[in-house]
Amino acid sequence: MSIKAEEISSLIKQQLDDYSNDLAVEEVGTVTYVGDGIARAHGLDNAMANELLEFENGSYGMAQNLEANDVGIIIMGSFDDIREGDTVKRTGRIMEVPVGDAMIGRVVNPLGQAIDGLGEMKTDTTRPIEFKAPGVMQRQSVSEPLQTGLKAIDSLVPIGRGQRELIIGDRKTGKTSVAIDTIINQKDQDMICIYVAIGQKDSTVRSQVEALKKYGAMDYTIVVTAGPSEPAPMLYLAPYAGAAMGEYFMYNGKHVLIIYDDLTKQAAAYREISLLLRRPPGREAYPGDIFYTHSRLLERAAKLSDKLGGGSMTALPVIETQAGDISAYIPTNVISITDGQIFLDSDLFYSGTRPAIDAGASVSRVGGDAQIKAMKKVAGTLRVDLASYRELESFSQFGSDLDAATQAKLNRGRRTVEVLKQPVHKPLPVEKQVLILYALRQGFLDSVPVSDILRYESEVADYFDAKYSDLLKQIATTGQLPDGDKFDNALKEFAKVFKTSATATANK
Amino acid sequence: MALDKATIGTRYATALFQLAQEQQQLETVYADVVALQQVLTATPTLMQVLADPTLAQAQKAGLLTTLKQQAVPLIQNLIQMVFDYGRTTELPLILTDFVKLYDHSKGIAHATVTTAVPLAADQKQKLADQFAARIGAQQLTLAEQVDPAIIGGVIMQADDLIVDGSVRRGLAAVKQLLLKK
Repeated sequence: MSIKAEEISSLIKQQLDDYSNDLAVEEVGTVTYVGDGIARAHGLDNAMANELLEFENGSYGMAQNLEANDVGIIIMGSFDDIREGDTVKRTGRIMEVPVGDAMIGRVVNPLGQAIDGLGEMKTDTTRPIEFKAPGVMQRQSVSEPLQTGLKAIDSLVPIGRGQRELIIGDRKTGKTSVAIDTIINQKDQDMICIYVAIGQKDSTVRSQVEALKKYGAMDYTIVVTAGPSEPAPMLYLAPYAGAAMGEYFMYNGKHVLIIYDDLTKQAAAYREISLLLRRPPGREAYPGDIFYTHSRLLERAAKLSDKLGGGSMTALPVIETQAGDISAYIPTNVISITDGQIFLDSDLFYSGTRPAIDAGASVSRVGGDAQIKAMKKVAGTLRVDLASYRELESFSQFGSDLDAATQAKLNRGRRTVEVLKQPVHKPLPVEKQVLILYALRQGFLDSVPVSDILRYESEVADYFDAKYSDLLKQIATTGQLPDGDKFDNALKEFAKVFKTSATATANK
Repeated sequence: MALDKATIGTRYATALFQLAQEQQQLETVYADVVALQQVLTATPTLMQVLADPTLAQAQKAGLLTTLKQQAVPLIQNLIQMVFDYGRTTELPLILTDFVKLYDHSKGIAHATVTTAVPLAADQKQKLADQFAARIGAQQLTLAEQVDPAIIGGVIMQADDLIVDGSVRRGLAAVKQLLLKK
């Protein structure tokens, strides 16, 4: 291809059209201290709180502390070539990130720059990372369900669109798996997902992205990541940047799911920044505004009123506890901010109950209204059943003779626990969840050995897919259980063809 | 928490300035402050010696008397007080802040002008007048700096304000514009 000089020069002409040789009037300050992602600068008398500042090396900073003689700045980006005595300029802007449809399917850093090597994102829209949450009149109550695809959650702690539900548990209890499975289940649900990884190992983030790609979930997901090797300000800003990207879709009438994984690390990053900025330390050395840090972030999740388009942003923050201690500072804070929590227990996890959801300690304060009718019916007594089972279980371990009613209760309990187990990355559509829970409630599982329950579940689903797909469809579309005893009859029919493993081997 | 040096400097300077105004000695005090500043820059070891804890008070007292000798009473008191209160190291800051206060009250501003080639006298005068009007100063002292790296044009700086009309910045803006699209 030959270069056409005329074309190029006309292009450049066009691009330079906006250039005007105006004088640049800048207000500057002098760096007096730099280190650990923090800088202090003299001057900058008119700098505003949270204003974006530009250093000589091209890095940007954010004005945090406005004091009598100097300004405390958090540096975003590299600070190793900023020196004492360098000038720092005001920009007059506050921090913004690019937002828009072009971001979907990408992995970006908290500044909205692509880090997945797929080139630049073509978007001209930006949003400030700190934005006031919708007010009282701009919201409406949560009414539509957000299906996580996990039986234990959708039945016991249902989540509605616009809700804030905390995922809390020790390390290695499957918190991230719950989050990733929820994203995977949003396929074809008209939902945009944002996964904000804060201080997660880069290798972990990579494998999560691969998992999302494998299940086709990257088509509607944005991953925002600030790895552990990034300076603390990036970790602190990541959730706000993610929220800004989500808000764009929410205010355009779409539904968004945002996961902050995890806010414990963000709190630690903010503590680091605050101590370096010499703000007074409080409990556990966290600064005084650590509660506000999380509350203003989570308050941005909302179900907007119809006047504003009816979009929603559902937030699933993740908190890591130490040895199950949910009364530590950050966990109690975030529990009180959110509309409920999913508590993951390490003992349950190691005993094989996965997802390791502790039904007693997990609650959802608003999701019940969003549950579909059929699910409400079949899951109504689940929580009580589980609680009484746990009680009887410890009691029955003394080995004394049990009466028939207790035996039956224990039997049902064991099967309930088994039914609520689910392998990772295998979300189940809501109609199939209703199916198996209905079978459990109506006692169809009582005669099935516990070891065969998982097989029963998959086979009954296949059976219904083949013969009674109309019933499943009806649940999915109307949200109601089928009339009369159609469901019972179909399950009875299946019970006749289902072979337990014991009979199967006996027949050989 | 210990006060930082900048706060201390402003406090002493404001006190000195107000006192000088009340006693209508502003001009004489200012002249002495400038002279003292010159002494301090000319003998950098002086501050070190005065603040050195290993030297005896008597040894320092001699130095102090020489320093005070020809000053007006207000400055004499200042030097003695600063020494007695253990604020000797902050003296240069106090003096700088006093000069700032004095300049502010008289509408005097200091600016630096950077050009690629040395300026002619009339150009300099024009620039000074224009810039003084811009920042609202009655009088402007202009320090000149020649830096070929800016290629052409002028950069003016006064305190925290930079007015950049250099070719270097223009080129950088063009570069940014071309890369953006």
